[in-house]
Amino acid sequence: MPSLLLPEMFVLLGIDVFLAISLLTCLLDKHFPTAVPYLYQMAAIVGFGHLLVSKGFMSLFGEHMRFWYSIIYLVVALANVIAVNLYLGVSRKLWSLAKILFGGFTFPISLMFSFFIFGYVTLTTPSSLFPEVPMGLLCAVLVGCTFVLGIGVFVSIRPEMVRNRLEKRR
Amino acid sequence: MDVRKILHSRWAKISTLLITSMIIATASAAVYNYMYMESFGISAKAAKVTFVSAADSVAAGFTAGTNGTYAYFNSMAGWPNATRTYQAACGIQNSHTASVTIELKFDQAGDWSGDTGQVDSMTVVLRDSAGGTQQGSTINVGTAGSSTTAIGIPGSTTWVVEWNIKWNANAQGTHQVSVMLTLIVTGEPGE
Repeated sequence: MPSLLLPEMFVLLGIDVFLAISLLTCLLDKHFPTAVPYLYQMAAIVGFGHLLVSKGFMSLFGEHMRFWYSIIYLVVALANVIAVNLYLGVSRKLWSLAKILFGGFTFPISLMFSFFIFGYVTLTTPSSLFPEVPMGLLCAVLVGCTFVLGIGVFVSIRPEMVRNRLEKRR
Repeated sequence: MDVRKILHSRWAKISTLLITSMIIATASAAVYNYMYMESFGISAKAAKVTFVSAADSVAAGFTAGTNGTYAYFNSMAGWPNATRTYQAACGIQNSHTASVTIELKFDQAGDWSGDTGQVDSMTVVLRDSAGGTQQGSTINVGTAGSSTTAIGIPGSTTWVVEWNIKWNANAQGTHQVSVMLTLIVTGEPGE
């Protein structure tokens, strides 16, 4: 049965991630060299070229090969997100900013990537490297994460309310 | 003034990046969408419900079309003032393991031609075997929309098509009609 997703979806995700880091590093331009946002834009354009090549040679490249080079692009995008985090935390000593970036960007992005990768693998099984995970479980994890995120947002907005509740219980 | 300049240049930078980002993201999504549509072509597969020959097929001059998707009779004849019956002019076979809904129909008035005024009655009946139990309703040839109604043919089963032809008393050997019936197969299960 053909998959409902094409492996190039990972390239599409990678492009969006590069564009997001580009905008993020532009907003935090005080902490990054001037060229960084433009480099990420270039990386996104490379991804676009990647998609065009894939489209041109779709019948020539097997699904297996397309899956692997798309995954590699996605992993490179994710590695860049982590590198931005590490740069802010380790090199610039901006731990609080690095933590915010991790919680608000790196972690959700990693979670989303794993959701798509495992979802795709479950539907097509192109590689034995990734275990098959039932779609129901993946959806349940996603709902659980959204719930935890909601609590996190609430705690961030009303920290005194949560603190008072916890003190009352003690 | 300097702050304004900085802000101006910063916003210009962000706006430029935002616009290029939107262009790249939209173009990429469009390419992906195109690839998605390309990858799901319409494929051909063998029909599960086909016409096959039955007991009276030779007498009726039955020929199954390519892949059994249509049936053609070239030597059917009726008697004046008496009904001639071809109990099993051809068969309708469901080669799938599951039940499939079919409907044999005389769709519209234009589906028969020739000396139709000389025909007293012409009916088509679907049965589970030659002379067996009738499946669905009787088709009255000449009545637009007359059909067996939608009926489920069980998996791995062959039903037969019975033709009953009666010309009126004045019909001559030179009189003839052409009839077209349509077999509608709905909800054919997947592989």
